[in-house]
Amino acid sequence: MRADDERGFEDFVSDEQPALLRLAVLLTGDRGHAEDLVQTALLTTYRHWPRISAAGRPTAYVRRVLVTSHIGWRRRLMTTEQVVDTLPDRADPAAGAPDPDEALSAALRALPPRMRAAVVLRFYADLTERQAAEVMGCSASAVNTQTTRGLARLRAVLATPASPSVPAEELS
Amino acid sequence: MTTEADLREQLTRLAEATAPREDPFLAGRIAALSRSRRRRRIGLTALVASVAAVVIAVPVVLSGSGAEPSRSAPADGPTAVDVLAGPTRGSLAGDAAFLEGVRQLPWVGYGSGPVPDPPVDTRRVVWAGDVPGGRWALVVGDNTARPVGEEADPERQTDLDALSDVAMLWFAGPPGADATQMGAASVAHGVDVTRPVAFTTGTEGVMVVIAAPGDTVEFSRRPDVAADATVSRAWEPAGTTDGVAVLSLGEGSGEPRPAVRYRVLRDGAEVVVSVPESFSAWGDAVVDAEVEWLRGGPEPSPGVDPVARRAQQVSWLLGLPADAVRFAVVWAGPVPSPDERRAEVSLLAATLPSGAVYLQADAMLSAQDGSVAGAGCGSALQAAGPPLAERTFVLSCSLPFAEGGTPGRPSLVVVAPPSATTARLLDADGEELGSSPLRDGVVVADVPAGLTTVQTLAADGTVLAETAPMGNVDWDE
Repeated sequence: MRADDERGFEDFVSDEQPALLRLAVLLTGDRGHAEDLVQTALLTTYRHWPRISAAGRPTAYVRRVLVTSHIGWRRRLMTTEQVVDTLPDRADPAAGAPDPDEALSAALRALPPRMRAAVVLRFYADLTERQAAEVMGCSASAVNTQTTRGLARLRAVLATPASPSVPAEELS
Repeated sequence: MTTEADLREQLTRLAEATAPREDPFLAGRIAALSRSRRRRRIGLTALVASVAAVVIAVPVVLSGSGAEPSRSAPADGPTAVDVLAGPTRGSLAGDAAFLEGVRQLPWVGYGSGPVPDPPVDTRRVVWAGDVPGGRWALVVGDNTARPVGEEADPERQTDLDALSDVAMLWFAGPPGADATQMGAASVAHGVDVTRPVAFTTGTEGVMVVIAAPGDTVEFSRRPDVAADATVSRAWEPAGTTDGVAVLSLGEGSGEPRPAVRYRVLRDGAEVVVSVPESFSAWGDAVVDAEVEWLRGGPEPSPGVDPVARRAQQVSWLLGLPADAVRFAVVWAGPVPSPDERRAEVSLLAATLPSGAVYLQADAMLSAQDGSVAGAGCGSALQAAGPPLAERTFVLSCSLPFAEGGTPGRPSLVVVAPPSATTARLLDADGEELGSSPLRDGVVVADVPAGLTTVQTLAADGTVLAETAPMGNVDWDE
């Protein structure tokens, strides 16, 4: 890779790493897996960096790799190791801060990966259904379905008095 | 506040509270990891990464032995040409019986994973010829081991050549061999037919480069590192026949040649600079490198010293005989392990004939069953100057490199002259993140978020050096 591409990639990682880690920890529910997921996504991005950066949408690309890699990992884990879908969240003694909403964290971890991704992309990353569908590699209607079901499951544990609703136009 | 807003707020709070810390060296680590994995993909040799053209392979019609090379015109750069097309080239091109025998040879693979085994009726001999010390042939055929499912997605596939319709395999045999004496001599794999290919063996010091007729082929024996640590290469022309160069690298035999590069030019534009495929097995070569330990070494033990073997590999990487390089272990010691295995980091220095110094840090995890996992954690070129014992080095090592499920265990290693008593860890703004006392000039510590440089201080508070963590040398820049 050329030196200017290397510098461009370094700048990109510097700028985007915090946001990617936040998205990844919501997707995985685990700091260690989040770090691995971000590294995997950035590794793929690095290999195609000249083409990706030339196309002008590296953030969208790396986010898509992040989400599809996560879904792929979870699928492989569930088919090969029969693990339960609730991953332990390792405590970070150095962090010191208590989890502000353990109930939400636990509820998210209990969602299947595609459902969790749909909820996180729609309500954390603020993507439209169409944008979330591009990231997840599925149809917008599938995102709608996953989001609706995900919200239904979250209702039981969310601390809000009423459950979040999906905008009417997105339920069609 | 709506319920959707509540959820958004809670997710944001949760993400901010639970996200891992930033890794200030992540970009460099990814670059190093990418290079490391690419080296493994190249084959049996741990070669330095080549400059890979990221293009989707152009399908090629294999059945037409007399077909003209197909040409296409990309938006920029040299014209793309199928370098494997056309009738068989080489000194044995007229030996129909030999070519047919080679075409029928079984394709055997190495390592794990699917190996292409093209149907015989799709195989074609691209080149066959006598070379000093033997007889070689390059055969291509339909790629029967193309990835499927998610791995077939070009956006996610890390080896785009694997997606190609075409697979290739080099065969080699003794001088005058008939087809039955020829054996597979490289790893069968998919290939980008627009990318010139080359093959060499350590034994004879011969390299064959397959380009398109009319292309110019050049080769370089090694990187030249000047006293100021700048790197250049001297390129030598190679004569070609029908776009194929057969050349002798000379200078010894039996050693891997990861320092060698070939370059192909077309109409004055560079088509590729790369390393040849090689059959040399690093583990089998003779180790004759001598290594000095600056801070005391281990007790001598039977067998090949792993540090000496690593030094030998560095000499191959540099393209220099081991006795032309002075090797020294600057520091080696334990670091915190991510699991029950023993974790160690070592810093090897190679002083080159120019006086410049090549440094290579490696991390190793040793299990009780004797298995060892290793990973690089930095390399650097430094100009000629002060003795190694008077220099300061900072390493940031993550053990192991994450492979999908295991979290890494980062460690900071500071190695300074014994006169340094304190390491002060600074962020990009020069703010102090923490400090650690040095023992005999060394400390192993955690890597604080935001670390950019390390100041080393004498007992009276004098700043002796300010050093950034070691990055990685890219020999192909």
